[in-house]
Amino acid sequence: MSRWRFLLGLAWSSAWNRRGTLSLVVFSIALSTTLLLGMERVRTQVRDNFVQAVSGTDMVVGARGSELQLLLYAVFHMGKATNNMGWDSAQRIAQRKDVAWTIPLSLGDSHKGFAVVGTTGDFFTQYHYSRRRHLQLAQGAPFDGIFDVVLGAEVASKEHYKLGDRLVLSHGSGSAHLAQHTDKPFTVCGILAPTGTPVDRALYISLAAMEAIHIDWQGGAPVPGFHVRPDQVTKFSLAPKSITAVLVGLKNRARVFAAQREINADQQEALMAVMPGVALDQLWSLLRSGENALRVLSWLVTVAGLAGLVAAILAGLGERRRELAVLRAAGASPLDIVALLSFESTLLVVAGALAGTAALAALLAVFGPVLTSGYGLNLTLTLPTAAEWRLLGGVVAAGFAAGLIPAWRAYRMSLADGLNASV
Amino acid sequence: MNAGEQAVLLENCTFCWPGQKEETLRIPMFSVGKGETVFLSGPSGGGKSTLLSLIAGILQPSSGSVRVNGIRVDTLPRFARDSFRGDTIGLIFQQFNLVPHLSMLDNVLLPCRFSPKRATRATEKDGSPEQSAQRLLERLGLGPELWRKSVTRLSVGQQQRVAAARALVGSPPLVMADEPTSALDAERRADFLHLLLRESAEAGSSLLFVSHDLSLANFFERRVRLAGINKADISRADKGTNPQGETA
Repeated sequence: MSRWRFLLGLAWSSAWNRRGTLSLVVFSIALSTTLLLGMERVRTQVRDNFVQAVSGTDMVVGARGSELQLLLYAVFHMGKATNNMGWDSAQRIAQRKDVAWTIPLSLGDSHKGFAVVGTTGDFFTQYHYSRRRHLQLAQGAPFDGIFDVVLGAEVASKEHYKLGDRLVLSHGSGSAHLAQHTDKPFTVCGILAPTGTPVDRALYISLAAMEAIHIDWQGGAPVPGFHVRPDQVTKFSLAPKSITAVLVGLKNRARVFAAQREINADQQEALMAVMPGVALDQLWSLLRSGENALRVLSWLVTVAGLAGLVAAILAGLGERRRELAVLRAAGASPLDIVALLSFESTLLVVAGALAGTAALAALLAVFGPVLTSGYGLNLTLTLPTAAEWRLLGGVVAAGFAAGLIPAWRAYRMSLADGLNASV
Repeated sequence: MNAGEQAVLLENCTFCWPGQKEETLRIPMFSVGKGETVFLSGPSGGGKSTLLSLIAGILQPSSGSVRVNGIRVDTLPRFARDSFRGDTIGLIFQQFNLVPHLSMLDNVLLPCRFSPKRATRATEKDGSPEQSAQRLLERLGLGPELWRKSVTRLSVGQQQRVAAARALVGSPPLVMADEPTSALDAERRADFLHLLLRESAEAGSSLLFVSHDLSLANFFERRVRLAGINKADISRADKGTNPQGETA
């Protein structure tokens, strides 16, 4: 036991003596560790973010089409718009016996790049995320008047909106010159607390408001010569005709397959009920090959780092030949020499892995907020997860294995040299 | 001759480097008595270092037996040989004796780290291996101000004295020195030799001192020429006895 400790100390002192060269080795291993862990962190947290946003929803119902497209568009405001479904169908679903709640969503408009979502007051009471968490209003109240808007946390913070501010919605989405609903400005009535989900990056108005701003529009443009002033809109019927999707919560989750089957077989409209988890699995399998390519790449970087380690130790062996002979003369066995060299490479890899983990933590601390606001990526600063520990273990194990190459070389050398190592 | 009374006893020993036809050594009989000081001389490349490696159990004889302190070194299993060497033999080389990244004290303590027996003997003698190392260093003229320092800035003479302290720590029964004075100037040479003789006597160690410098021979109880004990025809053998390129 004390012998191992002594050899470990000897390996440390030898490595410290060559810290100039070896720090570069540690740096390259740290770099590859950061890459490996960072990849894993981004991968799992992206998944977590997606899953959290739909974790309280049993089904997403929309017009028949691509399941993934519907989910991405309706919940995550990503990708291409899907066909609309009839409002009557949405009501029919809401009245099903097995349905606990529904949240209708109507998308299409935007404001400064953020999606505008038409919905009902149920959104604020029924939507939940991250398992059982409900939406909270940081300020104000849900929309009440027709031209009231509730802002997601990020919309408010990025555009510096406060309660009572007036803003104008754009027709359609994207960054091109969009037609503006200038004639019907909205007033900020509430601001949601941050959730870490796409909810933060959207604006919420009532379904009636969605109808109201489009009364005098047709085919994506105002109808010439026909203009309805905001105070006149209530004279028209503001009941929606169609919406994008309905989020559905069931009374009993076990009913989900039966409910899905029945909705898919709806006689009056070609509907589609999507289980969010299933659709996300489709997404993951689409992304898998890309993920794998990145993973292979970061392991290759790790291999390059370890090759550097082997090269550095091998290069140093020549000038340490004498030192090893001295240790042999003092009673070290060739196996002691192997242990010494293995300790050295393992020390370097462990140091590199720790430095890489620390570097990742530092990067997340500095750039995490940027990623969250810029890409909606919530990369939280946590202790390494089980999967990350496994990766770290993999790096150290690979480093130990790679270190056996110079150790074997030193073993052969010390057997051949005996006491006569040339200087 | 009673093997138990000898620190070193070689009988009918031959050694041949792998891949070479000619024997480097053929020694019918060679011994060093317990507590005896022996001066072994011979030309460079004559097989002196090979003989020391045989005694240290780092090389194996092609035939015959090698006994150190009565134990057959040549038939010990490999790991037992390494620990036996650590327990029993202190070694001093011509130069570059020290591990550059260790302090002077840690260099001296190396054998006690690898050999619990040496550590125990040092503790019995001085209370602890550290105290033993400090005593030896002081007696060899290396003061406490140098102990914790790196050894790389020491003069060659100081380095050889550190090596002597390391060879002597824990009182090994046998100390072998391979041309330890050849890197020293004449004045330092005699100084070093006296220190080494005095301290090995104090430790009760036998001393096998290899050198081609015959001016030192008179200080020893017995003088042996390698040519006198080696019956191998080295004139026909490859002069560079060691394929690794021995530097003697």
